[in-house]
Amino acid sequence: MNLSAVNWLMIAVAIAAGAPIAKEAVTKLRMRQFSIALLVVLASIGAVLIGEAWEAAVVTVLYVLGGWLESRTLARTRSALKELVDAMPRTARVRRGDDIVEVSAYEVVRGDIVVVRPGDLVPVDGEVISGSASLDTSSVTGESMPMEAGVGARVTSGSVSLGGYLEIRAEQVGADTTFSQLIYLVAEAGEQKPRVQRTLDRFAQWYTPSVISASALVYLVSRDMHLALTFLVIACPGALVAAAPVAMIAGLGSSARRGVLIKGGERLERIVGIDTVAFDKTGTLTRGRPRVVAVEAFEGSSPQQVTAAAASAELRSEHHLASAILARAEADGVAPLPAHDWDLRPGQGVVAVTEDGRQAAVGNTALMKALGVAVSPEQLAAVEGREAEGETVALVSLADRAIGLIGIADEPRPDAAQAIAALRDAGIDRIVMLTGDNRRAALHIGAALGIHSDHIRAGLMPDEKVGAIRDLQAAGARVAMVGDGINDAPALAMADVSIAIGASATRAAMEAADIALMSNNLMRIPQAMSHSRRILRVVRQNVALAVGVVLFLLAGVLAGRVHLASGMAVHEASILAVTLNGMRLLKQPRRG
Amino acid sequence: MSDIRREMIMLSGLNCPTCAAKLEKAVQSTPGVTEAKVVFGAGSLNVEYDATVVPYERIAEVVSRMGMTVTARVPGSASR
Repeated sequence: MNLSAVNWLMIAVAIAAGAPIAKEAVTKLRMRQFSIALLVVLASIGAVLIGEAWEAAVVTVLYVLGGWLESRTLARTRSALKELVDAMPRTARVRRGDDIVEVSAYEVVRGDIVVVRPGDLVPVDGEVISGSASLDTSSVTGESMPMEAGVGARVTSGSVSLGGYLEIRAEQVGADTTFSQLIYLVAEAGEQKPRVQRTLDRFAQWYTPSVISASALVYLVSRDMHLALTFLVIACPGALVAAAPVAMIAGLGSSARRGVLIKGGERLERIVGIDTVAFDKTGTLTRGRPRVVAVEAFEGSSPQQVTAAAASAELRSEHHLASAILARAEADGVAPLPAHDWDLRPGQGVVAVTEDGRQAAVGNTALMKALGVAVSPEQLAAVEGREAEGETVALVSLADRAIGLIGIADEPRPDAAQAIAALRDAGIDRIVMLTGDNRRAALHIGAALGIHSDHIRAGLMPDEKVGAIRDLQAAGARVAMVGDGINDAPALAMADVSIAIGASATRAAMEAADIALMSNNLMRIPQAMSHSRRILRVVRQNVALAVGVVLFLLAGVLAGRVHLASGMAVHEASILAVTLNGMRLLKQPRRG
Repeated sequence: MSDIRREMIMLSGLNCPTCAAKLEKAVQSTPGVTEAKVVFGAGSLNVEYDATVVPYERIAEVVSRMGMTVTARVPGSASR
């Protein structure tokens, strides 16, 4: 052995870098684990003994450097999830008698009154019982617009109070809150394996044992311990195993931070294969809250009289149009006439008798006919004209005379047309609308949103929506269904991919859906689809890279062209490469 | 009497997939632990255990013996 100064220096480096590795190896050996660290230490000692001290130095330094780089980049890919965990409420102020005490967020029980001051995180899901505040819900919904919460509002954990004072009755606490569920679902989704990774896992089952036998074989054949050790170290499947998970968690985590929960695994492959998106109309494409859009008075009456008569008839009605009419009366400052003897006539409308004995009625032409109220051809034309615009129109009569009409409509969400256009841009050929509403109203909304009338199915009962999805599938379409997750649950379950909007409100929807939007922002749908595509692309790239590198190195080792140091470098570099590639998914292409 | 708890324990130092598998086995074989799953991508240990048999500290000890540290704990609902 020629122990020159350089050699001594190399040995010193190997010892300095190798000491922590040796420590790690010994710790793991005590746990009965044959670690890579052990292989590296053995290989380094071997290298020194055969006079290749430089190789020992390179291997140990590379191992330490690689480990450091890996932990840094891994921490980055995990940062999206970590940010969610960090944003988790830790403490809560709870009212106990007259006192307000600060407790751990996990000690709050259902029914507790929680106090939220400016700057506080809302620690529970619940209902506001007093006070009002402006809440930043972005960590849950991904939406930057603050929400104004007053008495009766439902708030979710993880929101931050920007100002104001709230007292909240806790409904879901601790681990059951929307926010905790979100964190769990993201972590679980990251663990789900897409098909490409599952193939790899089957391969890995026999991979490790066969590498060990193969390296033993290499030694027996070549009697070259150095070669056998090199083979063993190089073949270690680091990049193979890390390839998919790091990309998944970076991609799913970053999308969760924007309020879009994409489930991982095979679902990702299904999302990418979608060519048809079916939307529920009411509450999904539209706001779901019908609003009075017109009050028209016939000759001899005023709009105020029309509203007042309609409101008095609707006072006791629970029909969904009643609340729209009553809301309009309140907004216009019109007091309903005192009334009694309400008579609800299903399919027609409602009739009441006012205090001064006049009959007030709101309903369709069938009701007017039944009551013997004359409707002139001009008045009928006004009704039909509005109905053609997609409105639901109610005639109003007072004392047996038609005095006016009220037009009610459910408006599209402001971002619905844009979201549909973006889906088309993303290559979704067919956009379908399914609704229980009448065809005319459906066609009107469809036209406003750019949905072809052939793709509108109206007048459907919930189970008929399931049939509509099945029809599309039978025709070869791969269908994603978008709905609120409650009324549409059967259709969502039937679709190839289910997308629930406003899922922060309903936990069941959040758990069942393939994609759960925590907000009602429809633009998140095309974004989620293109993001899923990116995730799957990166996963596939990573798997290909990892498999390629290992095959290349093993061939190189056997051919005698790859040595311990250079092989180690390529090996570490490949782990780093898949992690860095996964990190690209932390960035969103554009903000919506 | 048992006190089943579910937790997601966020780890730092979980840098190699093989260590993840080893940690998973070590925690699984700890008496009182009914379920343990290491999620490498997330860097977390998802564990369900009976707190009357094995205190959390014992699990934390297994984690640190494997050279990792706990950065955060996210309690989950045991019913899941």
